[in-house]
Amino acid sequence: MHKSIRQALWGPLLFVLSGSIWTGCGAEQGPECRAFVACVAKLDALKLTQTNVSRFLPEGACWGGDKGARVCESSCRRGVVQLLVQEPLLSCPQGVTP
Amino acid sequence: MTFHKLSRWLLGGMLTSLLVLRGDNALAHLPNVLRAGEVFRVPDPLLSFALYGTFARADEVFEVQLQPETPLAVPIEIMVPRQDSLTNHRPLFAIVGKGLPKPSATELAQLPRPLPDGMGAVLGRYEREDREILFESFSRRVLYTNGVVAYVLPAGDVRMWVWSPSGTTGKFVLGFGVEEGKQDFGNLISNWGDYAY
Repeated sequence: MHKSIRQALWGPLLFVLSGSIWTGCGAEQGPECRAFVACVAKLDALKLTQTNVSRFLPEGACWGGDKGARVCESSCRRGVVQLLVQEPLLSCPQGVTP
Repeated sequence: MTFHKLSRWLLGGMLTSLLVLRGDNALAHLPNVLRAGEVFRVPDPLLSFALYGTFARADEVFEVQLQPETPLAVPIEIMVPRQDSLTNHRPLFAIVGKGLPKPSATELAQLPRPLPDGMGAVLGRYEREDREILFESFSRRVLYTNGVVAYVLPAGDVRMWVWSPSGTTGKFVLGFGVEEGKQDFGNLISNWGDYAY
């Protein structure tokens, strides 16, 4: 292969590799959302429902990146509080982080 | 490395980035425009949305409807551009549906409309008086947020109402879900004026 073509291909190759590494770096399910999912399971048991919590599960959309993970963890922390206000019969631990 | 070689690397990298990071692969909130007096129907509550609206008058109400097949847990927040003119602009939202709690008399008085028969409601609230500030990467703007909360929506007919309790006017964004939608650049470009302040 001509030297100039080889050189021109190195840039794109490195970019693709770094992009693959970057997009492969997802976050893990956080403690606030683990607590929220557990609380929703208790709510389901109480109301005989089956809530779709797929976003918050370990494979869910929440954990595709750091930004989404932060938003989900904040929402889960407040979500447990909201559930307890909404459903007085519910008992869930809250406040993983202060 | 010579300048010539370096420029070839950069050019190759930029061309590849255009191919690799194509718009249809970028996950984000799906943007849409809310208009007072019109109902926006969420086509798929399993995707995320950023719904942009503007209060031109104090008494306007914006409505979003969705139909989850089962109860659905979803993060929801309301945001306002961080501008001096919008310091006191604090729109509120209510989630309305069957199986939600019966609102207190105070909450009922806050709602912009009478509750439909058999439905309950949950009102959003501002967690902090000074409001959190966030950088929204889609419109690349800085916004105030009321503080995102994961709500459990009931199955069936669910409505969200957005109104301005203090009668302030100006822009807002209703955020729904976490970044789960594929970017639609056609929509983005044609409605950029609504999305970016």
